[in-house]
Amino acid sequence: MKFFSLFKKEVREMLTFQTILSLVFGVLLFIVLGSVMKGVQEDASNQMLEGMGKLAISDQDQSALSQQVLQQMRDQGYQIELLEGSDDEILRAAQEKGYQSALVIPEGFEQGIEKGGEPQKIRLLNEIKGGGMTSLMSGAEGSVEAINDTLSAILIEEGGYEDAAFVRNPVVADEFTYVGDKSVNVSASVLSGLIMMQGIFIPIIVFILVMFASQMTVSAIANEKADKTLETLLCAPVSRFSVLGAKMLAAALVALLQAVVFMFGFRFYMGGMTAGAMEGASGIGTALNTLGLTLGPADYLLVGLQMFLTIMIALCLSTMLGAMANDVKSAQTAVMPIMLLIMVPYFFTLFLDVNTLSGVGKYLLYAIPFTHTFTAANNVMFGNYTVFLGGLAYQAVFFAVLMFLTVKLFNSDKLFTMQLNFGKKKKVAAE
Amino acid sequence: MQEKALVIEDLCKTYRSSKNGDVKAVDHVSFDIDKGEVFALIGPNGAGKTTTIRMVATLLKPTSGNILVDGIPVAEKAEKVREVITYLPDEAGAYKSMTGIGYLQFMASLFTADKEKAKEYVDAACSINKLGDRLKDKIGSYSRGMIRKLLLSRAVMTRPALAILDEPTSGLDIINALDIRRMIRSLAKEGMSFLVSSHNMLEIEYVSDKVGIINKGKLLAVGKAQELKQRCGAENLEEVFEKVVSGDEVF
Ligand SMILES: Nc1ncnc2c1ncn2[C@@H]1O[C@H](COP(=O)(O)OP(=O)(O)OP(=O)(O)O)[C@@H](O)[C@H]1O
Ligand SMILES: [Mg+2]
Repeated sequence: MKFFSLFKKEVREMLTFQTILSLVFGVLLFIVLGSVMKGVQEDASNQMLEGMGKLAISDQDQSALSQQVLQQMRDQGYQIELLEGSDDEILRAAQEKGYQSALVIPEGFEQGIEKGGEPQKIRLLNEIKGGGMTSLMSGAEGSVEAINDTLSAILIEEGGYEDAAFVRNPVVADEFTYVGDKSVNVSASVLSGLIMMQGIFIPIIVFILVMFASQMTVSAIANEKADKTLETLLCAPVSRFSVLGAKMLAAALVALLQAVVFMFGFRFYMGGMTAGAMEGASGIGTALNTLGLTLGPADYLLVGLQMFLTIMIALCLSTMLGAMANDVKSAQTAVMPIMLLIMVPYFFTLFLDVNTLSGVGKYLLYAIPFTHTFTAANNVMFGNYTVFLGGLAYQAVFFAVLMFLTVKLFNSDKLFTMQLNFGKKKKVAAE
Repeated sequence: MQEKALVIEDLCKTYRSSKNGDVKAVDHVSFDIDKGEVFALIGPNGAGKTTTIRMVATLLKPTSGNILVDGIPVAEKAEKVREVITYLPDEAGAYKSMTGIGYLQFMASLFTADKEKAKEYVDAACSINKLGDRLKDKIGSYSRGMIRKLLLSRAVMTRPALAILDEPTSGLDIINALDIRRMIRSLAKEGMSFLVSSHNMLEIEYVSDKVGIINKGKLLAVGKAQELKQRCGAENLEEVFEKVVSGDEVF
C-alpha cells in the first residue's frame, strides 16, 4: 500500500513535459540515424562493387564457352580462383581463401546459351554469419553482373542472335544463402535486410529504454536530494528498499511507455525502407524459418530477460550517481558515463559482429554489460547460445553486485556525507 | 514515570574528508528533552546543529554515543524510531507538481495504511497550516512561507513523539515566523515534543522551553533561556552566547 503510493508519486513526477520533450528529441535522433544507416548500407555495397576483381568460381560446365568467358575476364584484370566440389565444399574453400561468396557455372551452361531464349542460371553461394551490418553486406551480385557483361559482349561479337533482351542479359544469379549448415534459395541481401530488421529492432528498444530510464532516475533522485524531499522520505516509516524500488519501477514503466510510442514512429519509418524487400520475395518468412533465423517464444523470453537485467543495471547505476551528485546539473553530467557505456556497444554492434573481433577489443566490449544486450538477439538467432548465456550470467552477477551496492549506499549515511562534484570544483563552505 | 522524548549521550560525529582532513562536527554532546518540551539548539553557521539533528533523524550514523527517541535506541532500531518522529530539513522543498493537499495525502499514506487515519492526519494539517483554498494549487506556485507552513503542518500532523525541525523559520518574514512560532507553542501545550534549531537567538527565546548553545561541535550550555541569562547577567541570549563562547562562563 505504501509502496503503491510511492510508485504513483514517482510515475507522476516522471511523466512531465520534459520527458515528453526528450521523447520527441529521441524520435528525431533515430530518424537521423535511420538515414545515416541507409547511407552506410549504400556505401558498403558500392565499395564492394568497386573493390571487385577477385572471384571464386567453380566451372562445372567445362565447355568452350565457359572457358572463353573466364579467359576474357582474366584478360580484363579479374583474378579468378577456380574451385571444385559440391556447393558446400566450394563455399568453404572460397571462404578459406578470403572470398565472401562463390559462383558456380553449372553443367549444361553452354548448351543453354546456344539454345537461347531463357537466361541461364549461375549459382551464387553466400553465407550470413552474424547480424552486424558489414557481415550482412555482400557485393556478390556484382560478380554475376561481370560474368553477364562479358558473356553478353561475346554473344554480340558472335552475332546471329535474334533476341536482343537475351543477348543483353544471358545470365541470371540463382542465389543460395547459407547460415551454418543450412541453406535456402533466397538472396542474401533480401535475407540480411530482414535479419537487420529483427536484429536492430530489439537493440533500439533497449537503447531507448535505457537512455530514458537512466536520465529520468538520475534527475528524479538528484531533484529529491536538492529539494531535501529525499531526507523527508528516508525519515518516513517506509523501507529504503521500497523507496528505491518504487523509483526504479516507475522509471522502467515510463521508459517502456516511451519506447512503445517511439516504436510506432520507428516502424513507420523503417516500413518505407524495407517494404520493397518484403513484397518482392514471397516465402521469405519460411526461408527465415528454415535457416532458424526467427525468434521463437523461448528466445523472446531469453532476450526479454536480458533486457530486464540491462534496464535494472542502468537504473542501479543512475540511482547511485544521482544520489551522490550534489545538484541536478552535476547529476546530468554524471549520467554521461552511462550514456557512453550504452552508445559505444550500441554503435559497435550496429556495424560490426563483435564475435568476429580480435582479442583485446572483443573482451573490452564484452566487459561492458550493455554489449551483451545488443548482441543478444543476434546470438540467439544464430544459435550462439554459449555467448548469449555467458553474457546473461555476466549481467546477472553485475546486477546483483550493483543492487547490493545501491541498497548499501541508501542504508549507510554516505548519501549525506559523500558528495561528488562532477565537473565543478568543490566550493568551500562559507556563508 | 514519564519517558523522555529524547535522550542524547556523549554524541560525536566526525566527517572524514580526504581534502580537508577530518571534521569533528559534533563533539561529545549530551542533552535530553522532556515530553511536551520545546528544545532549541542554537549556534552560528557550521556549529553542528544540522549534523546533530540528522543523527537524531536516523539519517546520519553517529561516530560514537547514544540516542534514545521515546525510549527507542536509534542505532539498533532506526526503523522503529522513524515511526515516532518527523523531520523537517532546513530549506526543504516539496514536489512542485503536486498540489498542497496532494502532498499531504501522499505523506499521510506513508505513515499509515489506514484510510480513515490518513484523512484524519490531512485534516489536522489543513487546520494547522490555514492555507485554505490555496491547498488545491500546485506547490510550484507557493511562496516560501506557504511551503514552510505546509511542510510544518505535515511534520506535526501525525502527532509524532518528537518533531525535529531544522531552522523552521529561516528565510521567513516576521509575520510568518511569528505564525510558525505560535503554532509550535500551541502544539507543545498539547504535549508534543520538539527539537528545533536556529541561529537566530533572539527569536528562539520566545518559542523554546530549553536552549542548548552549540559552537564548533561542542555543547557549551544547556538550560532555560531565563536561567542562562540570569547566570551570565546578560540581557538576551546573544549576550549569553558571546560570553559562553569567549569562555568567561562555564556551565
Ligand atoms: N557532508 C559533510 N561532509 C563534510 N563536512 C561536513 C558535511 N556536512 C557538514 N559538514 C561540516 O560539519 C560542520 C557542522 O555542519 P552543520 O551543517 O551541522 O552546521 P549547522 O550548525 O547546521 O550550520 P548552519 O547554521 O549553517 O546550518 C561544518 O564545519 C560543516 O562544514
Ligand atoms: Mg544547518
